[in-house]
Amino acid sequence: MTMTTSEPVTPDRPGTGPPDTTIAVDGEPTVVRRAGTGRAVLYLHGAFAPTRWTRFHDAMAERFDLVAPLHPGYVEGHPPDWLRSFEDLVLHYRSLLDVLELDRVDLVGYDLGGWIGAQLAVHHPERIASFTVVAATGLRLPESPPMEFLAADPRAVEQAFFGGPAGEHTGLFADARDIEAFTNAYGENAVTARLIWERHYDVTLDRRVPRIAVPSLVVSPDDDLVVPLAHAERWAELLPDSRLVTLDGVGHALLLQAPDRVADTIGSFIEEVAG
Amino acid sequence: MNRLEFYLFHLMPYPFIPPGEEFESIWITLPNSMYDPRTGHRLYKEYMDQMVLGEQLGYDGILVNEHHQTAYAVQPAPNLWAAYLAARTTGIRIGVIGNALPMHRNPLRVAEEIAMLDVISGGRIISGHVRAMGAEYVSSGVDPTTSKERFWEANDLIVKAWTSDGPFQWHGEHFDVEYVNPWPRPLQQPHPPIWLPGSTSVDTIDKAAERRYPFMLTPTSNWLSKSAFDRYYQVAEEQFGYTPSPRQLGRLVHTHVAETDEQAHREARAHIMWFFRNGLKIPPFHMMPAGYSTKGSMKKTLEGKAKAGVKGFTEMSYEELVEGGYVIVGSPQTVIEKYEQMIEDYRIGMVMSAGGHLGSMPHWMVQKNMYLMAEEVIPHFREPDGRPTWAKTEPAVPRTLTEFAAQVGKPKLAPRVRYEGDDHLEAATAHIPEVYHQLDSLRDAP
Repeated sequence: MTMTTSEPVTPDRPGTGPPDTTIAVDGEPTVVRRAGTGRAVLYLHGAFAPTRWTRFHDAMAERFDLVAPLHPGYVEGHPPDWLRSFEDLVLHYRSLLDVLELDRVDLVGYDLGGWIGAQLAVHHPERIASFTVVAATGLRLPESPPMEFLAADPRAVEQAFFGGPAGEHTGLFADARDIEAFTNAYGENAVTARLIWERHYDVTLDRRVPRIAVPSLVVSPDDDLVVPLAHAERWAELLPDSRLVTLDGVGHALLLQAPDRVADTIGSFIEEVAG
Repeated sequence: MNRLEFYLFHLMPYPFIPPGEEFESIWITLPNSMYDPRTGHRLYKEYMDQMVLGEQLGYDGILVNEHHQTAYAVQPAPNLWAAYLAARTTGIRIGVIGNALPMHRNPLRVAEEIAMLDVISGGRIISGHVRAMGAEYVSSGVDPTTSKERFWEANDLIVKAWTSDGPFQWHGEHFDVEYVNPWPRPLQQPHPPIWLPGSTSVDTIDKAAERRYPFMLTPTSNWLSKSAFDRYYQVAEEQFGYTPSPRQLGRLVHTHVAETDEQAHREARAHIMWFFRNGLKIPPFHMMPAGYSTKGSMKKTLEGKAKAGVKGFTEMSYEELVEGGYVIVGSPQTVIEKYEQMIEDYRIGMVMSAGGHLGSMPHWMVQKNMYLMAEEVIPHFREPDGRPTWAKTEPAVPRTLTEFAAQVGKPKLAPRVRYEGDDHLEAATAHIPEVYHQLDSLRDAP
């Protein structure tokens, strides 16, 4: 396995995250951050602030061997040519587990990462010990659509993301005056656009998710203005061995707003599964 | 050859909306409850009358284009409009500039409609091909991240559909068509002229120069216009080894002419400001949604703008718009001088929106603008006969039946039909016993 290391792309708290490690997955350079020891937890990030290492990551790494790859394209800021569907990501992550010699992982997916994780778990159940979705997108609920954020006013997106003022995280949704931050986010969103622009949901999930037989946890803010709570309720309905935990006082930014609470909720669940 | 061709360019806006400061975007989210179809009917009639007038006055062509879900340009179906225009005119060129190719799941629809328009109009169609603005991707749900690839593949498919005998198969990256065999074929050979309208994006300019497609530059400053046109010449000469004709280059610059400079400004000011302040009120997240531009080119654009201190359209004062060359306003003499300067500076042979409608301009003022352009400005750039280009060339197909009979004659195949026996009757005379009795099998038929 060839790997190179470098400074984290956008550390939330500089100096605290593990270095970026670039490994080749099916020949494609892939950035993986890894920290902690114990059970291997594969964390799949979402569409918001996707490249950051945050307190949530640290809190998870205090209990587990946290493996946090960046989805293809998010570092470069444009979708790779080969990325045409979620299926490509399923194949990519199966190969990534092979490269890292991880036989089974506890899978955690936030937002878009929950959607990707579900497809991975559906296709490769033998690689998954447990499955956690946090404020996940992907389901089709016409009465409770998620917020459209790829062509929306960044101020409105920020408001919805935090469910109110951004507080210490203000500036996450940079406007064009901060050219560096803005173009980074613009590039990341281009990758998200490749994945979800034409379909903000996947109708196959309703039939496929019930195949995920492993113990599952659904975590959601009790009032999420980006991905309405109805989505979490539906995930819990579809996952045959699951429970739903809702958190109050946070928005879709729950990983930033309550990193320890979310990590503890997930950590306790995974430890329970481990027995 | 006329030194400058003059094209009417019409956005067909719906100006009866609040000022730009009172809404987020004239695209996508401006509630369509503001659109009154009765007023829309009146506007469409006025706009059509203005375009038809363009032919009577002697313009070289009329241009319309495609936009969706916006009061900026209420023309979501430009081919429909072009069909109506073709019916109301007889000789002038009609440009659809253009059809937004990547919007189509199957771009053959564009090949078919343009071919149909070309045949109906007697070969008067210019087929502009555009990628569509960022906002169109938001309103259509088409993936912006693959739009450039889709654009070029669609363009190539359309050209091949027009120029190759069908049926053939098209197995592209984005379009998979088992039978490409569109009826009708276009009248103009090898196909209707393809124009590439664009902003200052070097991608578009380079590709246009490579394929020798005429390039029409959308409104921008004098300085950026110069660099865009120079680029076309440079790429054509250095990379592709030819010197472009000035008629490969056109500039879209709204022009208003009146009796004196002062009067022209008096008339045009409010309507130009309506266009730039309200008509172009579009936030960046609609103009450039995620994936429409690349991270690299977005960065370059933002850095370039910051460095040059370029203001957005809605931020410019009227004086800045005039001085920067975004619009041309003045007496006939002033307008002539500015056009002469453009010919010299940019080496272009076409000017669009040269007189005509802009923004909230009322019908009467548009007509006045057009009359003065036609009488006082356009002849200056024409040969002594004053004729527009379309009046100097033979139509692609004869206009009268006598000419048709003399020049084209009968089709190669006559429609024939078999009743009984082995003989085929010519359908045209199948009801005339004296004719069909000459056939053996029908000698005794009633």
